Amino acid sequence: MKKLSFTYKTTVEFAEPVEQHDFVLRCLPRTCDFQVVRARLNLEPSVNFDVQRDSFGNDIAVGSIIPEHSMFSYQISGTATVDRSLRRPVEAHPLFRYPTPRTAMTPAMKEFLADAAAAGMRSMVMDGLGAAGSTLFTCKNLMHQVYDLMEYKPGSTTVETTAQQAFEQRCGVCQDYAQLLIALLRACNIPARYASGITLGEGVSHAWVEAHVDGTWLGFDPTHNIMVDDRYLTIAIGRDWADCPVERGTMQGFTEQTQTVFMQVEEAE
Amino acid sequence: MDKLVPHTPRINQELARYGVKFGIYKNNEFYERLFPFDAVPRIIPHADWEILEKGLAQRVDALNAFLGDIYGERNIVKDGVIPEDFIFSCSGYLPECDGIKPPKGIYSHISGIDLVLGRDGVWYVLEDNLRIPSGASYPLIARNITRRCSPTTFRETNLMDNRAYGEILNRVFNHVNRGGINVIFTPGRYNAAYFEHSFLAERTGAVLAEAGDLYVENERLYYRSYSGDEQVGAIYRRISDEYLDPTCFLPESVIGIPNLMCAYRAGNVAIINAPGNGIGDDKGIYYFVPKMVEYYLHETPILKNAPTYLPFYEEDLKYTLDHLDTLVIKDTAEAGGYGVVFGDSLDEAGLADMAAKIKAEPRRWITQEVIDFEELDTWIDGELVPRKADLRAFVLSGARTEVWPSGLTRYAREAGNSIVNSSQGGGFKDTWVLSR
Repeated sequence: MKKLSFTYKTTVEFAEPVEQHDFVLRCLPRTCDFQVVRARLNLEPSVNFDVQRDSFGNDIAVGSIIPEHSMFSYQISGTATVDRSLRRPVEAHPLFRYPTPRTAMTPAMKEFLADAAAAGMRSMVMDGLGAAGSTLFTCKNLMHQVYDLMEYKPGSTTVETTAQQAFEQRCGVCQDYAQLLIALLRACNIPARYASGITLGEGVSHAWVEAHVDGTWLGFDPTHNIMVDDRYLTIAIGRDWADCPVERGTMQGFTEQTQTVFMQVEEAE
Repeated sequence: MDKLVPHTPRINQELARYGVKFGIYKNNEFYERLFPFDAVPRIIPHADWEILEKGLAQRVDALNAFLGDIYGERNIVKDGVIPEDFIFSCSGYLPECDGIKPPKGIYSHISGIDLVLGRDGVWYVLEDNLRIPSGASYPLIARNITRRCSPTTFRETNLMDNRAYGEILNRVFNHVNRGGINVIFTPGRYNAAYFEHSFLAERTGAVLAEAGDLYVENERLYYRSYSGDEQVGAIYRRISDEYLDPTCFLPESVIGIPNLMCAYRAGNVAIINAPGNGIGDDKGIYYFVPKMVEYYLHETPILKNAPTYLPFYEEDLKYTLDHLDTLVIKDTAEAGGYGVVFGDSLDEAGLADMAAKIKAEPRRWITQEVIDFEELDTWIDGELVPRKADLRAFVLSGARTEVWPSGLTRYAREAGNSIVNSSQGGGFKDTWVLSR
């Protein structure tokens, strides 16, 4: 169990003023069986917003800024109690077994998957991977193989990069690691979903994978090759990145945007 | 009714004046065409209609139950009636709609069911259209004009009046309305079906609105008007799901209403038809509709599907490969008369190629027996000639499920051709349902 206090602020600056700006923010950490969140969302310019829950159970803040504005910022701060030992068994939505355009498999990826499975069998003798042949074993093994295959390289991909593209260039960031692992897990008929969130420390947002293992969702972080623990605060889940963007919006006035993100998660006593 | 024939040119002139058009894609280019009208109607005997009416209402009730189940409990999948693959690998299934209950639980308010009458005297359903089936206005307006040309025909024939379409639609509007005005939402006057949008607005008393007229605030949809903004309780949108809301679906859509889905999710507006209905009229799901009737309604299906095979099933794959040269092959990834191949039109190499495609991706294809359907007398180039024709029946679901006693009969332009989709050329006829 961890008590976390967090602050997460994004500021978007527009080179020219925009107006009629409708937004959907997915920046509120999820409230679920293992995560209790108390948080406050501040918007600038200050406007009313409504909080809803989307089809994946993510809390979203919805609103509009009608007058002209040259910047938009949203700051979420609060505390969360995270205790993954409280996770209850739950049925996996069948949706998480099927590939999306971003997590589609290619013949080369299938080959990699077959090799990864064989490599996993060889490492059976190694300790700590769980019982060979189990779902947990497959998940850990694939996480390990993705971690070994990929090189962490900020700037080498964009939010639009697919698992296939990341696989082909063998590098990317947490989003790419996660989408690649999701593609491989689903190809093994293991329900897998994308999780976005923040972790203990200071810096940028993170992404990892949840796989449905023996009736519950377990977190795997292929970027760090570790199982997800209570230092991870989940914001949104979905099939892949496209279901979890922090911000979606439309506005009048096409202009250049610059974005600054500040994020801090600390342990609270 | 032959005396209607001489009026054909005048009626078509009037239709052109009204802008009765539709759009087609040919070689990736968009064309607008007038929809030729043939004054010789299709006539449905009253006894036939009684069966059709019951069967169509039953089918649409089952489809509505299916949509509620798929975006809810998914029991039909859990009970093994429909394999999971047909739902969750289908592009018509929208995860964004999962768990949302539309007002009054109705998903398909206006359903267009395409049927043909076989030479064996049996009506077969070829396709269900649960998204935004268009075309009801064509026979409505054509009959109005025809009535003016020849009033006696309509006085002397025992024919069911079809002029109540607007009233039925208005009842549907009011049944699901969440408080506020009714709106017909059109992509604008450059849309090929704009004539229909404005016509239906006039007939229902709903406000005709474009994207700029509508906005969402505090989880409610509003219409901007000079006399103050008004809340919208029901919106009959004539744009497809993917363009509906750029903050939920395609972000590049400029014809949608940002955050409409939030107002819908909050239960403050009814969207007609509900988003996500594409899973109900998918070509692969079609096979299962009679099973839905049994599963949800515990009734025997009144209307028949064309005999259909799913190569997804081993047995059907074998049958398909053995009879490929006599079957119709449909690609579930294509719509509107595209991706339809008649096995008998393929040479040996073509058949082998098709067989390989089906074996590679069995889930993607359905195959059907060719239905030899009736031809209707049609006035083309100065003579009455037989042409294949289908029927799009309109079923409206509100407090009860009503079948509009009329429909859009489309005929193929070329002799022998059995693809009658308006996107493939061809014209339309009025559909007369006899009252006794």
